Amino acid sequence: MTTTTNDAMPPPKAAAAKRALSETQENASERPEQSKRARLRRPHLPPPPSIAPHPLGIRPLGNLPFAKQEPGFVDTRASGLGTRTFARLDDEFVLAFVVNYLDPRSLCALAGTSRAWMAFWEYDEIWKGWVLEHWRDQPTKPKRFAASTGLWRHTYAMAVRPTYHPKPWTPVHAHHMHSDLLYQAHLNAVTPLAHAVATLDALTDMGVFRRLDTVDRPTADQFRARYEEPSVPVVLRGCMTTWSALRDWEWTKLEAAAGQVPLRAEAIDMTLSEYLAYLRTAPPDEAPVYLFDKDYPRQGEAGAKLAAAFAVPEYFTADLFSVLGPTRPDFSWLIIGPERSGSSHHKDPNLTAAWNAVVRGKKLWVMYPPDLVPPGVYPSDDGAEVTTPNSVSEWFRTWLPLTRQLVKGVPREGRPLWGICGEGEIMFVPHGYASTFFLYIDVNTETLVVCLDGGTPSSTSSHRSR
Amino acid sequence: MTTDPNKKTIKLRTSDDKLVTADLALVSYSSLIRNILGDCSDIPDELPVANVTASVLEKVLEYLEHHHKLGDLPTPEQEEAVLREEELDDGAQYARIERLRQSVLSDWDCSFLLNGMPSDQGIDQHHTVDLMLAANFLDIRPLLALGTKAMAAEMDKCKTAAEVRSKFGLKKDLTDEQEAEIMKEFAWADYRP
Repeated sequence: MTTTTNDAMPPPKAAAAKRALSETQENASERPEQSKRARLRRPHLPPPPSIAPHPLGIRPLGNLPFAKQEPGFVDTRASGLGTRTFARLDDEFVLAFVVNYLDPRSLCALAGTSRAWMAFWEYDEIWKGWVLEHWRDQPTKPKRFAASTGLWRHTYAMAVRPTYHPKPWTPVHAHHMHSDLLYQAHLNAVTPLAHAVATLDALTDMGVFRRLDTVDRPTADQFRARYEEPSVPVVLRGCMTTWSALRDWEWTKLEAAAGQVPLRAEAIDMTLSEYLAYLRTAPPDEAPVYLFDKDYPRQGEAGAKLAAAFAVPEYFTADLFSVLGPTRPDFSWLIIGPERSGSSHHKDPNLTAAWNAVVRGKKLWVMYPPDLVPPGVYPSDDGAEVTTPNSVSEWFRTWLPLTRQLVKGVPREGRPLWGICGEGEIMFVPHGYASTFFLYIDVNTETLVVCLDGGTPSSTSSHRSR
Repeated sequence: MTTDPNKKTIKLRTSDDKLVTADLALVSYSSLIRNILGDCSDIPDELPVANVTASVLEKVLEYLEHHHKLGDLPTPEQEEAVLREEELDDGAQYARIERLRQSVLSDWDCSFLLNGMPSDQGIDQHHTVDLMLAANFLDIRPLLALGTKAMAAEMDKCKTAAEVRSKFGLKKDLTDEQEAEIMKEFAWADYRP
């Protein structure tokens, strides 16, 4: 439904579009930064990718005025929710009502009432919230996922009815149901990540974005002078060669060695084995659950072995925080997630810089310099709270292209950066940079991404305080 | 405009172009109106409330007057404090909603929502949603919570899809086979935790 807004641009050039898409497969750092070809060509944003229809046939609100004119149109939402009651409230309110005031049983009684209520009952994000809440309230309970169907609704049923066995569910069609709220989750879940990369490529051609620098094993002095002190983000290559993690962290080996280690996923803990069961369902979530754990080194022998499989890169070992002893901010994080999981825009707290190493898979990074606020991101006055779209997918689809307007008048050095960090590469994020990332995989060879992340105070680099 | 410090009432122009006179003390429970008045140097004679009809507005004022006399509406300072706390702590928001769910509607509130209908009807649904939309627009959180809770209570009384349809006047647009399929899909929900 969303269309590109390039009314002033000439008709798409097929060659340019093909080139932008084919280069998503190549390693980012091999491309030349700018070329004469780029200046001669008129770049444009890639067209919206074709999207599979919503499984229930739900369409965005923008289609409603046209649908109303078609013969046989029935206002499913109005008659289904109640013309005197819930149809008068907007989708967000109805959703908040269902989530906050109904319990799962009441929602189930609604499911067979009408197509409109069925559409809300079927919205898996509701059930995901209830599952996570249930697990948070009963932390010692084992976590079992509905492996055969991948539906959170089934996972919830399994959690409350131990004898329940999920069976495949063929969705009942919700004719003429139009809802942005219900449609967006589907759109964000199925928009291919290659589209985000193609958009970034095009924006780079337009000069809106710059590619992240890469460097091969700089000396400590070179690193300090060229990157740390001037606060320049960079992808470091060749700095993980001694890490046994690169060799040993294959999935079967990892599960055998550390399957019982409890790891944190948002507000709940689950063992690595339980998490891998979730991943094997190839979660169709808009924003899949990912592990982000700092306590693994202290989880017995298995945890200690994980911690021993890597070493803090030499550039970051001058650890000024160590004077704080046990009160120092947490410093080493293990991140595991499937494709499409990731973090929305954030700045590292504690004025630290960060290094982030990819052990398996790839990571797509987008960074905005300290004084450029990304579109769609609304920080509070002190920067402690940030309002962003619900999922990273949504940000890439809706807000990323608006960077074109944002950078007008901004000199080249102040423009945002992006790049893809592959296996064996380390991302250096200087403090003050707002970054967002997608865990991104090559679907033919990878199933998921593993990274290690650490924070380090910048010892000598200057920074602008706000 | 007037600079009369003793001014105690204000006229509100409703969406159906009628003027309703209201006590300043009562309309101050609406965050929207409170913020508008806070932006004015003097209290205006007339304030538009574009999304509320006169009859609904009068009902809103009736609610505010009753609860103002009881003293059980939060003051603006208390509301600000709660909002700030919830911004920082999701747990506080869940706790508040949980308290709302557990609370019982007072007799006065029940008959207020019944709006003169026979008591076996539960509540006047159309009227309750009118109040919810007005409370949402005027930003009167206790009234919005009351309406929402009452609608949820009505829904909880229904055990089957057919009961929900008859209670809320919904059209059945699923075939019998489709309804049966969906019922099979959530048969597990009849659980006793």
